[in-house]
Amino acid sequence: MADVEETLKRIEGHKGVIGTIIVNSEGLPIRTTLDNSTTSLYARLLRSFTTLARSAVRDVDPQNDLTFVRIRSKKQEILVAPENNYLLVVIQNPSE
Amino acid sequence: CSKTQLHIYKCVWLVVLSLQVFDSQGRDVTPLPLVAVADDQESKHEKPSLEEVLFKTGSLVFKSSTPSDMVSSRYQTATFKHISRIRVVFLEIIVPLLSEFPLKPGRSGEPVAQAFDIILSETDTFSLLDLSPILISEDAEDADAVNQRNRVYAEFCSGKMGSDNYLERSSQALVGESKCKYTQTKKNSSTIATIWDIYDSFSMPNGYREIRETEQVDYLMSTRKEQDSSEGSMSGHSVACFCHVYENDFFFFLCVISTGSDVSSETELDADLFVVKTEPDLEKILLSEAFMNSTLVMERVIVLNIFQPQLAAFRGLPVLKDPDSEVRPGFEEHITEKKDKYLTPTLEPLWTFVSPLTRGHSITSMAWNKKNPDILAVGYGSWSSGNPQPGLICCWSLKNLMWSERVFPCHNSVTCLEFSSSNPSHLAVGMYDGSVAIYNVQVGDHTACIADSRDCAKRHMQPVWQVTWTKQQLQLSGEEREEVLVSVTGDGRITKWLILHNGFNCVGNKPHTHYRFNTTRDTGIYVIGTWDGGLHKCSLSNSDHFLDTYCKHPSPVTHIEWSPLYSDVFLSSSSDGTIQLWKLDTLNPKMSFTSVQSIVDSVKWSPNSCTVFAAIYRQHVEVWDLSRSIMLPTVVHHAEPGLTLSSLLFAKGSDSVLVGDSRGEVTVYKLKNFRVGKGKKVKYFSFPNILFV
Repeated sequence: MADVEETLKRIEGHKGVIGTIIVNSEGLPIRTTLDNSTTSLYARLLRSFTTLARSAVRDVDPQNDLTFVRIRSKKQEILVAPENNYLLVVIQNPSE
Repeated sequence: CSKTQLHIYKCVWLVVLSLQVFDSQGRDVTPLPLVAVADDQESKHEKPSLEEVLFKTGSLVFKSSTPSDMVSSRYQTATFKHISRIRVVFLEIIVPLLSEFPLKPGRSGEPVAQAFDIILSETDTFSLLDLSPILISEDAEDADAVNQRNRVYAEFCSGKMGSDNYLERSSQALVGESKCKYTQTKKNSSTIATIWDIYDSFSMPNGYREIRETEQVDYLMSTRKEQDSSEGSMSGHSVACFCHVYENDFFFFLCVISTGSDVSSETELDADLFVVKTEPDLEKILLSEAFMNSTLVMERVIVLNIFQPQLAAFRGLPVLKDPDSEVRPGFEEHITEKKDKYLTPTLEPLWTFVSPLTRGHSITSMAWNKKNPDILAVGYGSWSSGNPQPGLICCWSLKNLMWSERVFPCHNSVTCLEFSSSNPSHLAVGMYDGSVAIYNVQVGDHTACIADSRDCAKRHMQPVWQVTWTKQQLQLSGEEREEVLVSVTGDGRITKWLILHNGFNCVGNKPHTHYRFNTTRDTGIYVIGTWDGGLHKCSLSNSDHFLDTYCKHPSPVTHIEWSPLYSDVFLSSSSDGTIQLWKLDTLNPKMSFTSVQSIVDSVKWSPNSCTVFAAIYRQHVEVWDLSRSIMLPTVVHHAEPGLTLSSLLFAKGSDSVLVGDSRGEVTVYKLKNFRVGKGKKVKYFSFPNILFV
């Protein structure tokens, strides 16, 4: 437990990381470093996005599965590690 | 008379709105509205339906009471037999009713509380058309005429069939009005058939499917938020899970069955429940192994994003500028500098492997993994004035430059380490107190040390200066090459270790003067450097004495390294500040390189380019490129004052060199502006010439 906490703190402290969100399976954020409105926005949008991405990957080959999603936009990069019962979301601005 | 009747009918309208019909047993058989009553006048021209007829004031119905009109009104409703009955009853019966219970006119909207008895009965039959036949006797005067007429008529009827004057034509009967019936369900279940869902459903074995059912039941019972999992009552629980599973299996008709159960839906969320539920969620997620993996991958991705230009330079890829990042003024100069081709070769620092755990230790050795060239093992330790401190081994990965994913504390300072080639995850470590250990780096915790020589009877007492994995021919078969661990220690022994089930056993040999370094070749010949400066050639098969002795250095030999591309050339470095280049069969050094009178701690060949080697002095690093100059080092890079550089390593496949220092940091430098000799022997004509001169 301490290892995980430490790793999470390290992640949050890396250069350019704007925020970290953990979303549970129902789309509710359970841990976040951003404000509530932004968090709920990201949680809702990314939940449906990753479901769609996973559906697309598995439709092509049902034995395949989604492991990671990166959305690179002009201002930042959204990194999502999807699993069955949670989503780990990190927003980073790498060129900061 | 008509006026009064119209007046009464208007009053009837008020009564009828709140009408309740009871049958003889007193049951309420009030007909319910099938559709919401729409108060539009437009539907007048359509066929009047039951509701409209009953509950609307239509002038066509309640026009007047004259017999002809009665007939016409009845004719229009002739198809609705039952309606006509009721209608007539209204006309006939309600009038006497109203005469007994006088209503105040103008009272609108207020329901009357009294109950009325309405008796429905069938009326007499009304004739609409009556054509009776005329009968005359055959003896009448115009009987012939009538007969004639009958005959003509019969012929006419029979001739009608095929005649052109008459066509068979059908016309459609009145279509009964369609009934519009709406249903509503409380349960909302839907699914989309996707290829992976089908695959999942059919590929799951039956036992697992039951487990999934029970899991889903728990899920359904504990989270009562979603609408399709809203059957929370105990009576409905089995049915709920039934239909949940079947949703996924696409048996739609079973969903219909499920709605028949008596379930209560809880779509309301209890606020307290919600807060309590998310806490165990978070705990459970954070402790799961999948989350550990996710954070690992996430950290790697983030660090890769941060260090992307440096890693691109390391791998020799062109560094592309991020088009979205803001250009800072300092960068402009940097870019123009790169365009100049004839710059002097330099070492450009890329990044540093450092973490809070490693600060304060001095780096003694580094080694790349044989199978995965992205993994670097670094040994830390320090022994100032013979007093060793507990050491550390860190395994760094190029994918995460800021945090080492494996950290193994050791009981003593680490002096040397090397990865095995046959078991790529085994790392052999030699320590200052003479113990040799093997670690399995795939395991992250304290069980990683799979063998330790502390319990071995013949263990070393002096520091282990080198551990090597050598491939050696087995005596019996002669074919196989098994890897053995060989260690060289300060007490003059070169020992071969056999790894037993839970420990080590060693086959030792040759106690001689102190040995410092050793390096081995496939053919079983190895070269030893000694404390007193001698270099000896020995063989693995003949362990009693040396085969050859090369000329001595005046001071201890610190390192010997074979050339990766020439099988009989090696370099040696010593504390007298010289680096000697030797050929295996010649007892005198071929070339000698001196630049500064300082102890040369280590010398390493570059694996990529055959004329390049690097040497580490206490205060600086020198990189020699023999194709440029054999007198002077090509690059001299000084360390920061106060810092001692202690370890050196080249990176295969990359023009980079790693330098470890006494502060616990490993800095990766890129060799810039070196003429890249691709390492092929073809390019390298000058080198053998130098040797044979």
